[in-house]
Amino acid sequence: MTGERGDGGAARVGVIALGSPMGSDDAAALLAAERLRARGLDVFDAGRPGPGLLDLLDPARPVLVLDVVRRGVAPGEIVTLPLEALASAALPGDGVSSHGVGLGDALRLARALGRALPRGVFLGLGGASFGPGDALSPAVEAALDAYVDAAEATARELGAAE
Amino acid sequence: MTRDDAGEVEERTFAVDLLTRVEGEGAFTLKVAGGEVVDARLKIFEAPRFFEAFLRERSMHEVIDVVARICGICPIAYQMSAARALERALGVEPTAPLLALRRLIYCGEWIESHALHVFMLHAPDFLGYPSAVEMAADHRALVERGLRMKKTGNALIELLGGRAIHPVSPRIGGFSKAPSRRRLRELRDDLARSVDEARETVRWAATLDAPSFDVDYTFVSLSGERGYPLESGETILVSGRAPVALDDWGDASPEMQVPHSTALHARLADGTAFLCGPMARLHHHAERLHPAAAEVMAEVGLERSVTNPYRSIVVRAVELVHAFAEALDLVEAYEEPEAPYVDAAPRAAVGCGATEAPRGLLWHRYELDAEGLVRDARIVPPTSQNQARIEEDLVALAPTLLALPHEEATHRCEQLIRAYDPCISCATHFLDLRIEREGV
Repeated sequence: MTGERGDGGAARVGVIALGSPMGSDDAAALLAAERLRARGLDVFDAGRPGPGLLDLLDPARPVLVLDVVRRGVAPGEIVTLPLEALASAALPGDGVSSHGVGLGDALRLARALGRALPRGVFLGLGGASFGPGDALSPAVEAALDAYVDAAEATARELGAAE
Repeated sequence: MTRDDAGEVEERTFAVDLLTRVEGEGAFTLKVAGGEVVDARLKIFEAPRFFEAFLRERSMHEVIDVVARICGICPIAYQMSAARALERALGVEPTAPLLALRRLIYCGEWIESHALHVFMLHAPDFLGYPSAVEMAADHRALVERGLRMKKTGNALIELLGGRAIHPVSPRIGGFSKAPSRRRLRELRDDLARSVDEARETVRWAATLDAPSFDVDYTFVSLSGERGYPLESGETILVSGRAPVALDDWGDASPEMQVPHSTALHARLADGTAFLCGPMARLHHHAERLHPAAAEVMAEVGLERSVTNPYRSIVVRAVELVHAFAEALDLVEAYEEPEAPYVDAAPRAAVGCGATEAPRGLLWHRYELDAEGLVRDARIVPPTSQNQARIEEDLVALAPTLLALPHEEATHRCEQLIRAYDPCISCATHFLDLRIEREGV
């Protein structure tokens, strides 16, 4: 990811959006990413990268990770966590398939390998529907504008602190 | 943690990760009567079924981009199988250089997927760790080797596919853009180093102690007209039986709906469960391995017909050597094609195509109308073909589970399922083992 445009330093931040466009609410972060790109932010649609996420994290560049949250958050609710917290939390992750390596796994793996993590923030949006489909649930649809605004504001804060 | 108006700290658990992609967590139910296992059911969620419906009425040119989203780990497999099926329907044959590029990008996907499975998922089972995260602290060099290999595979996919994740360049007839010879040759050093690292991986994997568990497999693999089977094939080989023409596979291996899973189960027409994937490919095509892979396979004494699923880690490692060595050969020999793709005119037709995804045979069938709109789509992924086999193996394992503590029994089941590396569409994180005891 590269890019130095934008205002307020937001473009100095790498934005990584996770999700699947065919997973109902799971598409929300990707849809937000499209709008953020139109606002001049440097956004990478990472889909479901597994441990490939490690290759996207540049310790020298602040990062904003966008994803939809399945549990513990009301549909449409926005939550913010430092990336470090995700790397520390005992999130579920060990699976029976190489398809089941997620954000928390990737961050904890980076830490276990002694790799430096970038300064960063995870911005989650509570989802309601995760079955196959290309439509958002009403709660997530209604919250998308606020989520995009929150993402831009967070990127600006991260960039300004550089 | 959040703080409410009264200043009380409220603890909350956020399930992020790929749990956002979970429809229903994996569940394995054993039904026991009189101390004997009478039924075993593995429940998983399977995404391709949704995509079959999603593709209907869409242009044939959209298909390859859409199916790339079925899976975050093996998008190339879905793209290549779709491309072959559509090209066979349309009567289009990519030129030899384009077919070579397809093999090259497919090598990238095998590398990425196999490295992930061998080092991140399967190795912790053998070395006694709950996951790669815990293993990394004690075996950092091993994990870093796996990540290095995976990164080289990603680089191939990114260069040829336009993106490392959900590639966009593959299309009907070839690619939207072919790489320059100079860009491709920049990968030579990494590939050459990786061939050596993959050889070392075979030697290491061969030393791992596998639990005793042998299965009388019916091996199913694509034929290999252009070498070890990857991006194409005209027949499907079934051990002990006559080969099946690609167009007939849907009838030869009917899929059945089972009440406990959204995944369809495929068996041979007589009800036989079969195995596709690395062990099946090696059984049918050991003589087609790249010499570098064949040599190290002989060195460690690996037989072509591996019947213990836990030893699939060695077979995957051998396929890693093959993929790196063939990729290096393809890069060395690469000449830029005159055109990146062959044009395809729409016509009303039906076409079937199959390729060898990292975890096995991936068969597609498309029915097009005269305008090139998809009238019907059928996608049969390797996991739905292997699921009946996995369930039968779990049944065979089950009697040894009944006396174990629940946590250990669950872990044993997970280990066996993991050996098959099922594609569960990023669905299953935890195996929920339920033992139902009748008459208790």
